[in-house]
Amino acid sequence: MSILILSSENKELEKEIGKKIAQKLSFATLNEQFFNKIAARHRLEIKKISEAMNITPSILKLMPAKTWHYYLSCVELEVLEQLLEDRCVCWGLAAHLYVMVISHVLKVRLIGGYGSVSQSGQFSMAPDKMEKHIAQQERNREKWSMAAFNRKEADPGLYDMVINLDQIQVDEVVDTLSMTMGYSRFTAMTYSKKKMADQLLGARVKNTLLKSLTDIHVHVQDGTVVVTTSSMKREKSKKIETIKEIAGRIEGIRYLEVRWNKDIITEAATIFR
Amino acid sequence: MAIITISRGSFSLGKAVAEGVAERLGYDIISRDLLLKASGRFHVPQETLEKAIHDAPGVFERYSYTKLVYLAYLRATLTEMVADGNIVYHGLAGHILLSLLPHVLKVRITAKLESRVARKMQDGFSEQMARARIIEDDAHRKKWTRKIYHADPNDSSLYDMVISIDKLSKEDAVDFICQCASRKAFEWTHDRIRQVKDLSFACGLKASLIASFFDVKITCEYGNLLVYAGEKVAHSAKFKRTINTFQKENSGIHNLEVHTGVPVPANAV
Repeated sequence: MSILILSSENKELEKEIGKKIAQKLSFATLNEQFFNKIAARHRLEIKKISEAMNITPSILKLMPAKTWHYYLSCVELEVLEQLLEDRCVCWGLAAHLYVMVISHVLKVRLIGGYGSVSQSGQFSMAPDKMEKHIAQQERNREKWSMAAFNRKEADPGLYDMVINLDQIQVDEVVDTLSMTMGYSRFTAMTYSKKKMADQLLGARVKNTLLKSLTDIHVHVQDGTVVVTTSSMKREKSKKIETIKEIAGRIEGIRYLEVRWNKDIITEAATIFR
Repeated sequence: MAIITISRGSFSLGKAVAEGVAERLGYDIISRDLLLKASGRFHVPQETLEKAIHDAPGVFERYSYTKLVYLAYLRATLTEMVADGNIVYHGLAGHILLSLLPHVLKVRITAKLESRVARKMQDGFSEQMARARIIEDDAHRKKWTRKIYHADPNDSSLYDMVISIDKLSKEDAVDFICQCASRKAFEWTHDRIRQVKDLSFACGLKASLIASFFDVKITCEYGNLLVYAGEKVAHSAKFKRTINTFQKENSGIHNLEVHTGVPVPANAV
């Protein structure tokens, strides 16, 4: 069976639609409540996981970039592990940004629909204020998604479908998506499961390396892992060795390659010390 | 009954989807017919109109408003053509030309660049050439929408639905659109027929005036046309002559008023 990933700025409608579809199809749900499990498995604070999922690190904020990337990698790892078991509706965990090109995953972006939310009394703002608030929220999310995964959350190219909830009703969306999930092309096949397993392996390598290192990018294909990193030239061999040593202990890697780039900025900064 | 506009990038199978929807619902399909009809009505060559709606304005055109004049002609013709409903329009800028009608189902069909390149290559282009042409075409569309409407054609909020034809097939897209068109939000009610008719009057009068009186804005409700113009324009003989002729030629207009020095409503054309 298949996986549905929802993404929206309108959290209320996203949750409502996600729950209704899961109920209709008897699928499991995966959402922010999963933070509890992530926190327990990685010994992290739930509050901080939630913070990392919403706030972009900056000099003035309390969470340093290194910690932020590590927290995100923990979420990514655990979500991918859960998604290996299909028959699931997932929202609120930014999975649309790291689950890429997997044929049994349907990715849907929901936009608008603030009219129905404000009518229900959940937003007590004047329309012009609400418009500004939504625009600001969208800008913040774009900044976050670019910093975290180098992808724009609102880019329609990331999704199989974008549905505007200003005209289309929640129940109509639930019907359409439930029907689509039943299409045979969204059935998990051996190759699509393998692709998901590759992404999980990549997330595991990244998570393990980010415990002690920074600037780590991982790409996996058929068990071949390519880790790309950067550092100053004098630290090159040390960093490559460390990566090989740490990643080498992870199960499932058929071949490991480390690609190194020169960190020009740090290099230049140290010249003038 | 509904009005559906299908926007697409080149080689995204948007045309095939539009044809599928029209066939399934038994609707009429409009694309290039718009150019033909507008060309005959306003005596402007088809190529000129096509350029106006396709190519981004050049350095000098940005200040001459020529493109906006042609767009007003196209909009007037399109609103008249869709006035009876049961229409699928898959030509350029449908979602923008009919943006003032909320019950028009606006759909965008997208596809990954690689699959679009592969489709273009079937026409005998090399991969490099096909890719370059598609990228150039996309850039033109983006520039056009930015310059004329200050919007990005890839902005999903301009549409009710964006469907990517990669994992989903052409048939799936046809299914989704047909299902959606039957929803209450896009139903063809008496009130909505009236709204289309009103917009058609407003756009028609705008097209008659725009070449000489560019700044004039118009709204129409229940057949009552309100024209917003400057003091000088409102007293010009040519202006009065044009609006009187328009009123005589269109039987459904109940009243026509000219307002000066008052704020223009946001829904004016």
